[in-house]
Amino acid sequence: MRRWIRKGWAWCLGNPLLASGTFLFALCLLLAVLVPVCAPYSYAEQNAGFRNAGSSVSHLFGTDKFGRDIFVRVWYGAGISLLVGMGSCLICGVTGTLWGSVAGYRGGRLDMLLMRIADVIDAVPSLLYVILIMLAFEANAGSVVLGICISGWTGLARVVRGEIQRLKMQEFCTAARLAGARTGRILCAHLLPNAAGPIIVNLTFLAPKAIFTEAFLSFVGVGIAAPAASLGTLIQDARSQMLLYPSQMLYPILVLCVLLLSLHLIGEGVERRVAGRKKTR
Amino acid sequence: MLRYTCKRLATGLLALYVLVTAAFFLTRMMPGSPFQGGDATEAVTAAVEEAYGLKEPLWRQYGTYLGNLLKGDLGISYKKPGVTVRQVIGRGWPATALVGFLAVVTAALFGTLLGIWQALSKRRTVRGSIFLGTLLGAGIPNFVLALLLALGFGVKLKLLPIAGLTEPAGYILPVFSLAVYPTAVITKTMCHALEDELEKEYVKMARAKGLKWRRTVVGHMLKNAWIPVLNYIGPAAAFLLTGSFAVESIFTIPGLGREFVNSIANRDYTLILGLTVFMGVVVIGVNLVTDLLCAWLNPAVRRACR
Amino acid sequence: MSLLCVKDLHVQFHEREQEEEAVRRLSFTVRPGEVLGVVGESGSGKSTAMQAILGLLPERAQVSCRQITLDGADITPPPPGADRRSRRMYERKMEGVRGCRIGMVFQEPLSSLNPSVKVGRQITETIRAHRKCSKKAAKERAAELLGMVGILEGEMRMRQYPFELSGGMRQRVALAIALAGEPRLLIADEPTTALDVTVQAQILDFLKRIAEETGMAMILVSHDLRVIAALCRRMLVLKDGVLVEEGTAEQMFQNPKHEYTRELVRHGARLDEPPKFVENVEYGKAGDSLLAVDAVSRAFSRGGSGRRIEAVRRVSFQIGRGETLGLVGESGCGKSTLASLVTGMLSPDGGTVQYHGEGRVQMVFQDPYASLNPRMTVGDALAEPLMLNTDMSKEERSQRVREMLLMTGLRPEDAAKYPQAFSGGQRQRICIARALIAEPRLVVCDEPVTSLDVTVQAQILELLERVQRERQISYLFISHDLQVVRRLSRRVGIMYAGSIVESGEPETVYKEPWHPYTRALLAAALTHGPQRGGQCNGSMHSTGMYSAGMHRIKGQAADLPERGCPFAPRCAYAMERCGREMPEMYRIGAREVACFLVHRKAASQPHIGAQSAQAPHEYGI
Repeated sequence: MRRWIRKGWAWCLGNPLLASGTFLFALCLLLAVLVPVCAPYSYAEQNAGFRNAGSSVSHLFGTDKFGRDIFVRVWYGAGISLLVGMGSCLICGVTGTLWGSVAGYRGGRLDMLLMRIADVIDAVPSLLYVILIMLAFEANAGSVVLGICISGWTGLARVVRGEIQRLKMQEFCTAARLAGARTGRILCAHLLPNAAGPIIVNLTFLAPKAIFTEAFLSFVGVGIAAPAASLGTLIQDARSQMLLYPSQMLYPILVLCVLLLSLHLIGEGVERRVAGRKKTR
Repeated sequence: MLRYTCKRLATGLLALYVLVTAAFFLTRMMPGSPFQGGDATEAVTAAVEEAYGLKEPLWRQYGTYLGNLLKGDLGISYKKPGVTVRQVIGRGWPATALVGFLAVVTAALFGTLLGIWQALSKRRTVRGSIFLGTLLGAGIPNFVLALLLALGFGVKLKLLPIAGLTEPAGYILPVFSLAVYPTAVITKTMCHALEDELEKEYVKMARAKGLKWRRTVVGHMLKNAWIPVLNYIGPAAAFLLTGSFAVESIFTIPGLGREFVNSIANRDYTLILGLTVFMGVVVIGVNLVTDLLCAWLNPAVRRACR
Repeated sequence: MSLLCVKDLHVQFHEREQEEEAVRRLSFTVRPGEVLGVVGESGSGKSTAMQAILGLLPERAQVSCRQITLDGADITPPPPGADRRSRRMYERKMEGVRGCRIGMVFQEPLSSLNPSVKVGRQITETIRAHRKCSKKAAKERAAELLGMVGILEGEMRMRQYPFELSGGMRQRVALAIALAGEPRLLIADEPTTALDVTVQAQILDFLKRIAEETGMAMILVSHDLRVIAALCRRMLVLKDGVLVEEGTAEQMFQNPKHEYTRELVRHGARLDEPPKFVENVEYGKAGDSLLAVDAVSRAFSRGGSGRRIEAVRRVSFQIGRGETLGLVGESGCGKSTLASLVTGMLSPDGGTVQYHGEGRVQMVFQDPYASLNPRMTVGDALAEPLMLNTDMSKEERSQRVREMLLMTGLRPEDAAKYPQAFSGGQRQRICIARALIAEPRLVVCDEPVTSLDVTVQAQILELLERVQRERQISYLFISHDLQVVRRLSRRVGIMYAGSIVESGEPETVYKEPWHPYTRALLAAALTHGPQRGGQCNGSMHSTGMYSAGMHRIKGQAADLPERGCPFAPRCAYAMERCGREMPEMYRIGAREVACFLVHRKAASQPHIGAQSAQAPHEYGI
C-alpha cells in the first residue's frame, strides 16, 4: 500500500500539469471539508444587522443580502460540487466499466444490444433528462447525481469496450487462457489493469462535467433547493445585485473556476502521461 | 451504406421515442398540479384539469399525446392562455438557431485553425499559450463567462450591448460566450488528430517524395484529421442548445432557451415537455446527419455500399 | 566520381532524460549505377541514417554531418542549433532532391500510403511536384509507371484506395511513386520485409531488373543478409550505429573480418544446414501419436456480407511423441487458425482434433511484445499456470519459476521485473519458460522467431532444440521461413489457402518438391551466400532467374476460386480438371501431395507407393 502511494505521488509530480492540478484540487478539497466544520457561522445563518457587508476579518468574503457569510457558503457549495463530482464519477465509473467490459469481452449479439442501448441513451443531450428528473424528484444532490449518471457512463463504456476488444485479441490473453484462466481472472488480472489508463483519463474528465452540470442546473433554478447552497445558486442569487456588489458574484465564480480548472489540469496531465507511456512503451 | 443508414435512422427514432416517453411520464410525475395556487378553489382547479384532459387515465393521456405529436401538435401552454407550444417554438426558434449557427461556425473555424497551429507550430510559446487557452475555454462554464462578459464589456466598459438582438453588435457577446467551449474542444480534437497523423508513415512518405509541407498538411493530413472534428459537431449542437438556456436568459434573447428557463420557473409542464421533445428532435437530427456524413467520408464505407 | 558521398554522419536522439546516439561517424559512398547493401539488426541505425540523408528525421533527432554530396551538389543538413533561416533553406533545397533525385521506399506498404487518398492521386501529385505538367499528362505518366512496376489495368487501379490492393501491389505502387521523378538513386528501406516469400521474390526481381535497365543506383537496406546477397555486390555492415565492415559480398561471406559479420554469416549458414537429430529419441512411431488431427475445417464469416471464408479446410496430420512437425505457408494461409484449433482456442466446424497427452497444449507466440502482460511481473506470469492448475504452495511455485528461468537462460532474480525490462529475445525466452512450466507434452510454436534478429533467432532455435532433447516434448512448428522449419522439423507440411498441399520429410520435399506451389516457394526462397553469376542453383540470384521463371508464380493468394484447386489460378501447370474439382491427398511412400499431376502418376502405376524414390519427373514438373 505504502509503495502504491509513493508511486502515485511520484507519478503526479512527474508532470507539471498534474502536479499543479493536484495541488489546487487538494486545496479546494481541504477548504470544502474544513471551512463548514470549523467556521463560527453555519451556511444558513442569517444576520439581519450585517447585510451586504464587504470583506473583513470576521467575514472573509463579506456577507450577502440576508447577512449570511459568503466564505462559508462558498465552501459549503464547493463541498456539494465535489460530492456531486465524486459521486457521479464513482457510479458512472462502475457502470461504464462493467457495461463496456461485458460488451467487449462477450461480443456478438449481446455486444450489439448493449451498445445500441448506449447509443439510444447518448442520442439525446443529457441535460434535458437531468432537468426533467430534477423537476420530478426532490431537488437535492442525490437527484443531480442520478440525472448525471443516467447518461454519463456511456462514454466510458465505449472506451472500455474498445480497450477490451483490442486487448483480448493480444497474445498474452490467449496465453492466460491456455494456462487455464477463466473469464473472471482474465478480465480482472489481464484486461482491466491494462485498460486502466484510458479509464482514468475518462473519469478525470467526467468529474468536471458533473460539477459543471450541477452548477448550471442550480443557476437555471432546478438544482439544489434552498436553504442548501451550491455554487450555481450563489451565482444566481448574487446576479440581482451584480451591479452594486459584484464581489458577491465573483467569489463563487472564482471558486467554481478554480475547481473546474484543477480537474481539467489533472485530466490533461493524466492524459499526457498515459499517451506518453503508450508511445514509448 | 444503406444498411448503416437504416440502422442509424432506427437508433435515432428509438431514441426519440424513449425521450418522448420518459419526458411525458416524468412531467406527469412532477409534484403538484399546474393549476394549483393563487386563490383558485378546489372545484375550479378540478374543472380546469378536466378541461385539459388531466383526469383521464395516464395511458390514455399518453396515447393522445403521441397521436397529437405525430400530427405535429405539441399541445397548448398551461400558463399562457391560448398560446400553443408550436407558436412558442415558432417564435423562439429563429433567434436560438441563428445564435447557435453562428457559434458553431465560429467554433469550427477558430477551433480548426488554432488546432492546426498548435499541432504544427515549432514554437513552444505558441503551443503553450494555445494549450492554456483551451484549458481555460474548456474549464470556465459558459454561464459564468456570459456573466463576466456582460459585467465587463456591457456594464463597466459599456462597449457592447448586453440585452436583446436588436442590433448586429448584440450578437457578439452571446455568440462568443457560446462558442468558447466548442472552440476549445475542437482545438484540442484537431491538435490531437494532427499529432496522431504526424506520427504516421505516410507523412514521411509524402515528404520523401518531395511534396511541399503545406501540400502534405492540406492534401493528406487534414483529410484524415477532419473526421474527429466533424464527429464533434453532433455533440456541439446538443451543447449549444442547452447552453442557450443560460446565455439567452443572461442576455435576454427571446429564444427557446429563455422560454425553457421561464417555463421551468412557471412549472408550465406542456411547454417543458414540448420544448424537450423539440430540442431532442433537433439534436438527434444533427447527430444523424453528421454520423452519416462521417461514414460517407470514409472511403472503405463508401466502397462497401456499391 | 561518386553519386552520393556521406562523410561523418552523426544522429542523436533526445528523449527526455537519456541521449542516445543512433548513428556514429558513418561515412560511405555510392557510385553511379551501383547497388549497395546495408545490413544490420533492428536498432543498428540503418534506417535512421538513410532518413537523415534525406532530412526526414523528426525534430528531436539531432543530425550533424561533415558533408553530404549528391552528384557534386551539397545537401549537407544544417548543424544542430542552426537558425531557422538556414533550416528553411535546407528544407526548400531538399524538396527538390526528395522524390526527384533520390527516391525512397519504406518497409510497410500499407502505412506508407495515405488510406484516404486514391492511389492515382498519390502518384500524380508526386509527378506534378517535380515537373510542370497538366493533370492529364500526369495521369498518363502514372499509368505508364504502374505498368512499369508490373501492375496491370493501371487506369482502374488508379481509381482505387490503398486498402483495395494487396500487400505486394501496394509495395509496387510505392515503388512507382519513388520512380516517378526518375531519380538517380533509390533508397529501399526493408522493401520486402513485410511481404510473403513469393511476393518478396517478385519485388526483388523487379528491383534488380530496374537497376540493370535504367542504370539507377540503389541502396538496399535490410536485416536479412540473404536479401542483400541476392542483389548487391558491395555491402556495409552496421552495428549499434557504427559501420563495422565494408566490402564486396564475396569478401563478407568468405572472409569476414569483423567478429559481428562473422557471427551474422555463421548463423545464416547454420540455418541452411540439415538438422542433426539425436539418435536415442524415438521419433514418430505409428500408433504412438500424441496429436491426431483428422480432416478439420474452420470457416469465418467476413464483414457484414455473410460470406464465409474457409480458413482451414480438411487438414489432417499426426504428431508423435518427441516429434516436430513443421508447417510452412504464407500469410493468410490458415496456419494461425490451425494453431488455435490444435490448442483448443477455437473449435473446428468439422473433423476432429485428438490430443492424447496430459495437461493442455501450450503455445509460443510470434510477437514477444504482445505475448506478455505488461502489468504482470515475469514471476507472476510464469507462476500463473501453476497457481491455476496445481495446489503448489507459494514457495514451491517460486522455486519452479526460478528453475525455469535458469533453464531458459535467464537469471532467477529476473522474476521480479516487468516484461518491459527485457529485449525481444529475452521475452521470447520468458514465453518459452511460461509454455513449459506446466510440463506440457506438445507445444505449438507460431512463428516464434520471425520478429527476432538473425543472431537471436539462432539462439532461440537452439533453446527449443535443447528443451526438446531434455524433455522429449513435441512441437508443432509454424513458420513462413523454409530454412527455419527445416532446421527443427522431422516432417514438414506445406500449407496453401487453408489446406496442406504437400507433406513429407524435409530432405526429400526440399530436394524434390512435387507440388507446383512447393516448387514456387522453394524457388522464391533466398539462399545464404553471395551472388554468383551464371550459375543456376535454384535460387533467384543467378542468370537462372529467368529460366527458372517457370517456378516464379504471379500474384498473391488473394482471390480464391470457388471451385477446384485453390492454387489453380496461379499455377503454371493448371489443367482443365484443376478448375473443376479439388485434388485429394495422394499418398506416395512417406509423402503426401494434393495435386492431379501426381495422381496421374499414382494411377498409372498403382504400386507407386513402394517405389517412392521415383518422382513424377517425366511429366515435366
